[in-house]
Amino acid sequence: MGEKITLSLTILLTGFAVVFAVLLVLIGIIKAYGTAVYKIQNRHQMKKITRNADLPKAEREPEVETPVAEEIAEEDNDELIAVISAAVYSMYSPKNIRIKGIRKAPSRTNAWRNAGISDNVRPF
Amino acid sequence: MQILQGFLDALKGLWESSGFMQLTWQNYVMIAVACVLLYLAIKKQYEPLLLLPIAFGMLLVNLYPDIMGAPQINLVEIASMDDPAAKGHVIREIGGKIFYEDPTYGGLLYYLYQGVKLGIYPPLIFLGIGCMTDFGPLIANPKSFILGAAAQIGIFITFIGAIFLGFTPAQSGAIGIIGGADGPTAIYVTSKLAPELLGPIAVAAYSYMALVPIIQPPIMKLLTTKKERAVVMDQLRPVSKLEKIIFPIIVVIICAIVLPSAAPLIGMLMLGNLFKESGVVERISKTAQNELMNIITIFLGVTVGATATGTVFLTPKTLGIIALGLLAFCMGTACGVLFGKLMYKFSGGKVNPLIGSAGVSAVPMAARVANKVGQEENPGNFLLMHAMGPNVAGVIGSAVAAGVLLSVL
Repeated sequence: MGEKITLSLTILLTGFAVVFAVLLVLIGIIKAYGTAVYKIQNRHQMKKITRNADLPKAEREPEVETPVAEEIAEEDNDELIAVISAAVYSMYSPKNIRIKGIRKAPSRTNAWRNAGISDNVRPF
Repeated sequence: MQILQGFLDALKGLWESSGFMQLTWQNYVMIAVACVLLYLAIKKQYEPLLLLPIAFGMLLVNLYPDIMGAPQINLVEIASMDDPAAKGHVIREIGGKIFYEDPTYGGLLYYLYQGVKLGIYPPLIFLGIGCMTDFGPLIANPKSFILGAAAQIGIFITFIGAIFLGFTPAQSGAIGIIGGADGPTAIYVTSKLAPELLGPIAVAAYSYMALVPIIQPPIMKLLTTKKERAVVMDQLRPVSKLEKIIFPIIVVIICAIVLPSAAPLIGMLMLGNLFKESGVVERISKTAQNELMNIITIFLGVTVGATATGTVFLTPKTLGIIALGLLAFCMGTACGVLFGKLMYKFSGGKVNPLIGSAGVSAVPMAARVANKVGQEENPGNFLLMHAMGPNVAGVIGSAVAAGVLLSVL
């Protein structure tokens, strides 16, 4: 009986301590690199904005369109509009949101790209 | 007359080799159990992807036990080395007598079962799971790891219960891991620690995983107040692609250094996740989460089911395992919720303790249950993404707990 109690408590203590220790270490590391990555990416973005602002207007990089105010819907599809509005709201959660229009993004694939993919995957 | 005699002998031979003469009452009971499981898988749709092959494997092995039969070598005595009967066979001389080896091959499922026995299938399943898992909610809120760890306490408490019920330490470890609510981990640990218990443990683990929506809500409601269940949590921060790529690399480095025995499971899980997040091997990622995963699921399910033969399964020990498995599952859920309550207190009421129940892996079912129970109090409360954090942390936590058991026992 004594042996069983010793073994049980040893396993309980070891398991509890090791699982928590490993996962606590992971929490620390993820928090640390999460902060570092955020700072690096933020600094990179700020540099890009500053560099862009210094250039004459004609040479500036075009501003990226945000998906919040996509434009012009040709067909009135109520369900689709409701779903897209909900998604935009949940992602950006602004207080007063107004969607003026919804436009399908242009396809980023072209014939040459498709031909390349097809050529590469044909043997499989 | 001679033809009639031959006909009768043939019929007699067929009758003697048929299931009516070969099968025992235990086999018939297991056939009935397999049919019940098939009903649950098809009609009730309880984890059908696994329960259906498991139940059919169980059915097959109890109808035809030799389908799991191991290969054997029979020694046949011959008069001399030149005996024409021995042509093409290995000849041995034992005690002055000459024999030739007459091998009989194993059953189909015996060979497929080697993937389970050698611990190959569970890590491959983890590869597929890694490709399908989004660790974003966990990276956005790393504190979820605490809930994933807390839910593993059930494993170690059940270990104690199993020890006192007379199971060996290795068997107790295999039984306790049911509390991790992670099928591949349970099978991996059992195949290493107590392969003789693989059938009952796999059936218990997958049955309880299927019953998560029934087992967990009463425990969650018992341990929380209405106010706690109604807590609406803040939206998680967006996680960058770089963070998602770094995550699997860091996790595998830390876990494999601290617990090398957990490396096959966590390594494959993180490899699959890196396939997904890197975005440069889309083709491999798709194969791992679809074709490979499906093939392994078929092999794993059928062969695990085939370990549940009547004589092995119908023992008082199996009933003990089923009861202890339920205890493990309930303890895991309770510990997760109790730690959730602690986080609720320390965060000043910002954490909904229900998400702690998702710390027992069972991805994504446990997270869905947390979301559903939360919505019963407040229909506008969406806890799913918050519960996914502890849920995927539970997968890593149960693999770490498995590593501890494999190292210590």
